[in-house]
Amino acid sequence: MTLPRSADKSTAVLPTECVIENAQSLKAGLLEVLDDETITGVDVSRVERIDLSGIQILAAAMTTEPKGGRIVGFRGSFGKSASESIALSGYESRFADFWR
Amino acid sequence: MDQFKETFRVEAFELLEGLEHDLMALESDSGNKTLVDSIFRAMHTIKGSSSMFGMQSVSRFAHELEMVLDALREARFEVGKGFINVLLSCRDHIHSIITDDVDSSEEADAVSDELTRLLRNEAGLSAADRQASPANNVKSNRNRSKTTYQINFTPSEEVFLQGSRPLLLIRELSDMGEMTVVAQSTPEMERFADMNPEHCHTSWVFFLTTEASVNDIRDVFIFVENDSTLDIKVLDAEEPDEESQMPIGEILVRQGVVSADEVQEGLHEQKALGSILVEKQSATERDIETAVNAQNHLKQLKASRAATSQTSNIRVDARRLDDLVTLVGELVTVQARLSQIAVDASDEGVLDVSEELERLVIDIRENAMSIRMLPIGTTFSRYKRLIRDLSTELNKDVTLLTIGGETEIDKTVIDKLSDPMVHLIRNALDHGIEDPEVRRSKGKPIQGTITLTAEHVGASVHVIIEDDGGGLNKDAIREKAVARGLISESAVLSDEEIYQLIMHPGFSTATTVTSVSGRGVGMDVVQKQITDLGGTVHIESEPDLYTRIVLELPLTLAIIEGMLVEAGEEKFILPLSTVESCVEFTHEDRERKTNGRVIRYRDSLLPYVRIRDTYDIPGDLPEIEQIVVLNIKNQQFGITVDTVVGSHQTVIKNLGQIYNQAQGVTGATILGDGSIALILDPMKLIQQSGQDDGSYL
Repeated sequence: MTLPRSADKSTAVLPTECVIENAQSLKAGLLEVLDDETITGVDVSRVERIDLSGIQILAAAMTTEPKGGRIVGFRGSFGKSASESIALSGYESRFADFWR
Repeated sequence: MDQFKETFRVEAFELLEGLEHDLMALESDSGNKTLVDSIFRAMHTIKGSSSMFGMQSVSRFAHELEMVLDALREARFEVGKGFINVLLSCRDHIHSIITDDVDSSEEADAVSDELTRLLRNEAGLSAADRQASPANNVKSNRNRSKTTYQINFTPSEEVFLQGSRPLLLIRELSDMGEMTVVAQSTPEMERFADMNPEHCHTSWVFFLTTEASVNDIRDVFIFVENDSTLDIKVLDAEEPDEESQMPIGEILVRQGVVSADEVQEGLHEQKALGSILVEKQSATERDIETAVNAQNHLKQLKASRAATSQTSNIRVDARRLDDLVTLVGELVTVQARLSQIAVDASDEGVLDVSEELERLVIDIRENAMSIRMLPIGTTFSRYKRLIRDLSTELNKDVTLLTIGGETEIDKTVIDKLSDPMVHLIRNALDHGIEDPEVRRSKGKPIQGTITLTAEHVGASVHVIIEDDGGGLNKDAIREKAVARGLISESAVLSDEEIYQLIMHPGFSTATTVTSVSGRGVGMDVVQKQITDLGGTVHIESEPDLYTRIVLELPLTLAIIEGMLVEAGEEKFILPLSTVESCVEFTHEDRERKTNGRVIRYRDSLLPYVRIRDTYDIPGDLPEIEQIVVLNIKNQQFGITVDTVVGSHQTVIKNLGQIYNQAQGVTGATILGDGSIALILDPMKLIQQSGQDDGSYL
């Protein structure tokens, strides 16, 4: 699954749900992002629901060095429910580094 | 996901079965806190797991029940028969929703609501009691001091695929108090391209300060615990040593009351450390008292851990066990062929290997068979509920007595035994046990007793269903049989033969048909099901005393240890467990024989059957025959054969419909040379032989 891009093509937009049911496609989409040298941001503002599988995928993707030595960071902020899930998961402090 | 849902269903049914058992036990032991805890935990698990599999109506209903049960844990009301009745109905309701796999229907929800209302009434709980959830109760109604725990939790890698949601567990845990979560990810997460996104790559350390107990915390993980690593420790205390004691000095150091040097100094003096430290004003008496309390706390914690420790089990699909036993059966057959080849070749090397293989195959066979053996008591407990409900329905007072519940029998046999047992118990309750007034008038105790007994007898298991009721009415049975044309009016029948008539289809002497029994459907089904299992049904009865139904069942339907014998060109297997000895039967013995077909054996007369006669086997008799002496139920009798070959691992093969009625034969087996040997049922053989010529029995 290719993640939608922002108007200027520099940001990939995450879906509203990052959960086990779409874990494979989310991973595939983020692998594309890491390969696409035009992308520098991942927009998380639409994410309303995220479970541990989604959190793990984002954490793993954001700690992987993107192609071309770029820096890819989060844009926007997670929805309330998703933020709570991230806090519960124990990944909150790690995620704090991803807005760059 | 379907396979995980099926696992959920299987586990839910097991939990419901355990719940039923515990409720029945609680009825007669209402103050048993262990049972209450067990019931609560079962309901809690059902609530959690049903929620994870989308069965929200079950989860909601279980949540309501859980709140009532939590009140019971708090001893806010006492258990009565009415409460048990309603809770059993709740259990049945959950069972039926899960069975139907229709989570939400107006009808089911209405039943849930009504049952909840009834249960709360029975518990005497008001609507206000509905407020607190179990997690909140931890905070609200327990007067415990707070404890800080370190909880190490590593879920199974496949936890998502099993339908579990770790974040829900963490949320429940965090609701218990103040919690810090530390997530640790596995190295696989560092290789994003290779990482399986559907696996869990996270483990956690939780630091939780709460009023909850270790058991409360464990409850949160109860439905993932089997597949996870879970370690709960009280923080600031290491694992207690063997004496369950952390030294006072260490506790004081950890509490920051004294330094390690001060403790060392004190230890050099030959006095109690507490006294020394107080004397030196390094610690107050209160400090020492607190440390002693902490030490006691550790002791209690150790005891609690020991109590909650669980045995290590794994769940295996029964079909896999069946496959294993089938394969072992094939292995036994192949091994027998190899043994035969080794004997024919007279090669010592091959013989050695063959014998070694035979020993291994025997071990494998016994292991495989033992895995499938279950104590029959696991089914007995189910019938307690049946008897309880039916006796209430019939206004009878009946108790269940079980004997030999630890008797092990093949799972396949146990599974197929359930229906006939239900039929027999229903009959015993409805037709056997008299009404209380009738019992009183007969001078019998008002409370009737149904006794279920299981015992090993030779290569068989006898399951006996006995009631202390009015017994079978021989005259009525005979009259009915004549009226139905089953026997002639002049037929001479033994008591057992008359009783056997009730197993004809549609046969019933009951004057009224009840919802329980009396339609004439049952005993014929019972006989068919038991016969299909390779068993037999015997009936004994005494008027006004008892009716006893004996189900004689094979121990296993797969492999037995047999003794291979020959008569003429034919080969037979006798169950080795019934064989007592072998004696020679000479030409002179034959000459001396009486028409009673007995010989003198160890100072007594031994009846015997000649297998050649039974099966019309032609050919010359050997000079010396063998009598295999069998002992079944402490009765000895012999079977005359030409030669005894020796013991033989016997893989039982069904004879099929055509040979099903073969006299005294229960099955067949394939020998190492590819020939067939019939497996004999000695008891049947000797009974039938005796009946044929009237020589004995």
